[in-house]
Amino acid sequence: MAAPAATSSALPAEDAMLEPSALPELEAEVMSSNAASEAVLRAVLKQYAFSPKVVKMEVVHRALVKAMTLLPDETFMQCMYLIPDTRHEDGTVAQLNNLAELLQSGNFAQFWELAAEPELRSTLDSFATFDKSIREYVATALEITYRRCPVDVIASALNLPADAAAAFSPAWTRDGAVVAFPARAETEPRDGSLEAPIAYADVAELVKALSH
Amino acid sequence: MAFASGPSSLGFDAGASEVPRAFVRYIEDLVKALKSGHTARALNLYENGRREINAEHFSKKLWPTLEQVNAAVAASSGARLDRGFEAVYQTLWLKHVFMTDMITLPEKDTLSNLVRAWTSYSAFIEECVGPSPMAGYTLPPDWVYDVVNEFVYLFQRFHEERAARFHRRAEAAKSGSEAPAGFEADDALDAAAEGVWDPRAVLALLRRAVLTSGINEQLAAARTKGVRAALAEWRAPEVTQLAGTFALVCLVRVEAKLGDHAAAVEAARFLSPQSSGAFLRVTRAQLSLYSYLGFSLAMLGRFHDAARAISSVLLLVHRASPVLEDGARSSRFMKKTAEKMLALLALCDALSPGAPVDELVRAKATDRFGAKLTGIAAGGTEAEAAIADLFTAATPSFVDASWPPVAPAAEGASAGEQVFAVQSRIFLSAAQARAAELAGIRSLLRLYKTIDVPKLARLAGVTEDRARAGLVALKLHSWQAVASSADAADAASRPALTRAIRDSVHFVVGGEDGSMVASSEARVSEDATRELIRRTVALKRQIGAASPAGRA
Repeated sequence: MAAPAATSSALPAEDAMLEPSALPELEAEVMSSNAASEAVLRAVLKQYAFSPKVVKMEVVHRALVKAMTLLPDETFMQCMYLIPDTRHEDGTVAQLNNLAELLQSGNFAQFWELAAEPELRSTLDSFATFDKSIREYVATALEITYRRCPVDVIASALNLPADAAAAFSPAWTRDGAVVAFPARAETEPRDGSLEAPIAYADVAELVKALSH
Repeated sequence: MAFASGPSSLGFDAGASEVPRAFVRYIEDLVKALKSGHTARALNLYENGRREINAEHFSKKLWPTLEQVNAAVAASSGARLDRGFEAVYQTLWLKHVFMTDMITLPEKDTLSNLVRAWTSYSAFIEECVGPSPMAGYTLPPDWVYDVVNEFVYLFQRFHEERAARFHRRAEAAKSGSEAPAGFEADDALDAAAEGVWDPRAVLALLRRAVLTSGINEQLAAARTKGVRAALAEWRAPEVTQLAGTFALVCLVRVEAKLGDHAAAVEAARFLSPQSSGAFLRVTRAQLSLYSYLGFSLAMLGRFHDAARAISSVLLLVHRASPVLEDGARSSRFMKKTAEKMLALLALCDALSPGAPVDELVRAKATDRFGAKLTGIAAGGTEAEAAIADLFTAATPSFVDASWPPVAPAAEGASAGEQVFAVQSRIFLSAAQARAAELAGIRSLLRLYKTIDVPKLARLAGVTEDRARAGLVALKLHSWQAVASSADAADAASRPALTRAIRDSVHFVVGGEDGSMVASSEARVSEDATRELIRRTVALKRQIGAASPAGRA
């Protein structure tokens, strides 16, 4: 979304989004079906952190749901940092945090199990593309770990029937009970040294010393 | 409202009714030095002259009010102080109140002077970036840094004092008793405090100073044209450059203190450890900036970038002032900050093995925090405790700028402590999970070049599903967002991060049935190359010193 109207048009976008007058538009954006914007999620939660009286918990929940769809970006973690201590006791906030932890720790089957609990499910379903985004994240996590992965592992991770799971990405090739993933830098064999750039300052010091 | 110019019954004397002659001379000398551009003289008067005049005349006394000084200077020289110096004087007056440990104010006067500080410090910064900045005065970089730095301190202090006042009164009301002395209801003070030091206004002012100064454009230009060319083409007045640069440092600091680490990192997107020194000019500013930037990077799980930034800056600063040596004659602030950075570096290095850390800096971190690092490597509860200890040692204080403040979750916790509780809980949960992966699955991958998942699971003492989850988690956590060198080439751009595996242990799961793990451990070549450069430079110096010309 464009930066909401601010009280002063001269304000940079970051400041305009922190103006109290911008809050209704930001909240509407968070509650919309639009894709998550990291800047908007952060601005809403920051406004809430500054003015606890105006907090709407349904907006907080939706912000966390949307932030989860941005994994592996750090947006979810960042959003949690902005939620005040007392609000962490909210049951839905705690459950959403558990879900994010399961995703980040590779426990995908447990994630889908917890996400299926009715109360949480209604919160997650409020953002229509949630499951799709999470499956894309899971697929990426598998692709950076595996070159070939058992179909049953993929099915459980994506919470899909085996055939649908194996065909989740057009770039995947099924080979019996295994799916072959396309080559990626993260799964390519690596030589014996890490990328290790030498700073200009170091080389400059050497050149300077040797040229005197 | 009336600000504390205070009756003597408060335990200190109000601004001297008769301004000491020595003080008038001091002010006149200061004005002269600032006007004539003698920054060394101005800095000496600001640091040493002020200390002497305070010790002699104001050890338990407030400085004279601006009106009193104006009258005294007019009587002495026939001239009045101009707008630029008035802005300077107001901050010096408050610096004496809040930064010298000489003045103890009653509770109520503390808050009223913090309210006043908002007006004075923001006026100073506005003046620095205004159309005719500081009426042409040349202020030393250290002085400008102090003011912008104090601006952040006073912002934090205001919110602490106001929240404490709010909670003390709420507690008293709850128990049906009178509010304690100094915390009584004061409508005038409450009204004056309304909207003051609003975090939005604080951030907006700092950002405006950054924008007006053009510091980001110059930092971006330094990436393409080089630092010298970028500095040479910087057209903003000197004091605007300084205020904007230090506003950038403090913007990173304020965002980190508010817990918005993404904003802190974004604010610093044009900085690089190598070029920042030439722009920042004040070593304390450089150290402060990177301690907060490193902290925010680590809070976002970007351990590799955090370790790289901290290591580079600690090394650069250490070369100029040996902050890493025991007994070094660095300031208390620099030693304390360097110590925090070392703790953070140790933590990042342990959680992201293979991070590019200079060997000298790593050795210092190991000397200082070796026992904690051993604890992390051991895994289990020992690792959890060691991570928590290092985190506490590395963490700055936080600001809770909420209003009205929420009742503390833990009884007696201050506003800042509540923010710390949130930050530490989230970070430690992620960091401890990461340490468990490192001590478990990863340590086995270092031993076996190939191993199948069932055997890996058996050796790790977990189920096969858990082992597969552990492998994915290990990969995900090593797949860190990294700032590329081409990042943010112009001031309008936003940081474009790429993800790359940052771990010296590389592995992939595959094989016929998708159950074979092949791994390899890489050697970090950077340290060896840097070490070669260091030794070559040292050898060259020794040869130079031993030559006849060198001995002469």
